[in-house]
Amino acid sequence: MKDNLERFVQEHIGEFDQHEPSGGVWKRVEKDLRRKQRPQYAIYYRIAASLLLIAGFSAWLLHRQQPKEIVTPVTSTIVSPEIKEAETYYASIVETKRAELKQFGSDYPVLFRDFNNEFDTLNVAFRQLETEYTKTNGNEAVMQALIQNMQLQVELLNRQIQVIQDIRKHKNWKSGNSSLM
Amino acid sequence: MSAQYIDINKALVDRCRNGDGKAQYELYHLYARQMFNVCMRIVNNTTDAEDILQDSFVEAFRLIHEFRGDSSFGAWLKKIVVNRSINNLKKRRLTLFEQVPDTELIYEEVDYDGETQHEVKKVHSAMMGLPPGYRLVLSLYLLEGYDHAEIAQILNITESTSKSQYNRAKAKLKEQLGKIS
Repeated sequence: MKDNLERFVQEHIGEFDQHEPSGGVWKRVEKDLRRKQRPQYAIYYRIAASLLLIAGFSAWLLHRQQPKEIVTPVTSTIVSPEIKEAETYYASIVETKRAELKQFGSDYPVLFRDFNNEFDTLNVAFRQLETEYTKTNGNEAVMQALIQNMQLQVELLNRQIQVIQDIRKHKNWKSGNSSLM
Repeated sequence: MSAQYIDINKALVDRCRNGDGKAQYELYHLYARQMFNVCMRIVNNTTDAEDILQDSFVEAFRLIHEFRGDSSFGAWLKKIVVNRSINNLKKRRLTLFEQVPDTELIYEEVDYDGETQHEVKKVHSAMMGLPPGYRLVLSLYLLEGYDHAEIAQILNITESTSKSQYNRAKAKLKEQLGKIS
């Protein structure tokens, strides 16, 4: 049974809307809509751009080295202690990140496969650079490229993890809402 | 009248589905004030309420393909707004449901026979002065039109908690009104 208070409120329900939002809210909605149109693709573009960059750089290095040098066949692999140290360091990070990615990635098999392909591209470039490094008897520029490649591997994995986490968050958040609907 | 109203909105919603910016603008203006007041009644803070309003509309427009039309667009939007407003209260770590000893609070009915606008203002400001948990359940039930089963689901509490919280909130409101008049 309704009492006076309830009856009064329900009879005048529209009049209880006493507040007015400021005009700036619509402008912010509009701006957000334009910005958030394709949030996930933006990350893909950045990954793709960094991959193109490293691929281009590797190709340029390979070209630049070849005509200049008289190729001396190298029988033993010369790996400087610097490179070895860096490789061990980055390899452990890469391994941790890949394990982390694999743990979440199983929920998104297609995405996970794409991510692995992206990583492999970098890894192939790394192997090429490594060969080049040995051929050039430890050329400084090639060593820089090797280190940069390892940094990019870590960076790529970080971004891939970020993408997966964003998707998971979006999903959780959506299912959080649907309990209301 | 009401059927026609729904039809007008349906056309607007369909245009929004296709990303029509003008339709989005129109739909925003149809609902902004009402939704802003829903926010205000729950969070009681203009800045927060405007942020929630903005985020809710952005979410609604982005997820509009998920709106199936089994409720009115307004009801669907309101759930997003209510959900986000409640999250805001939770973020502020406010204690919503204190365990108050269930003493029988009965306050005498207040008559609402003064000038309507004045009476509405009086009830409204007394309502805004209530503790957040009381204000929340009271506005969800009395003004947003949810029943106790729905409120229980929204707030993840039992139906009887919703009922007792509502009764306490109402008693408290009457107490405040008694002080004013």
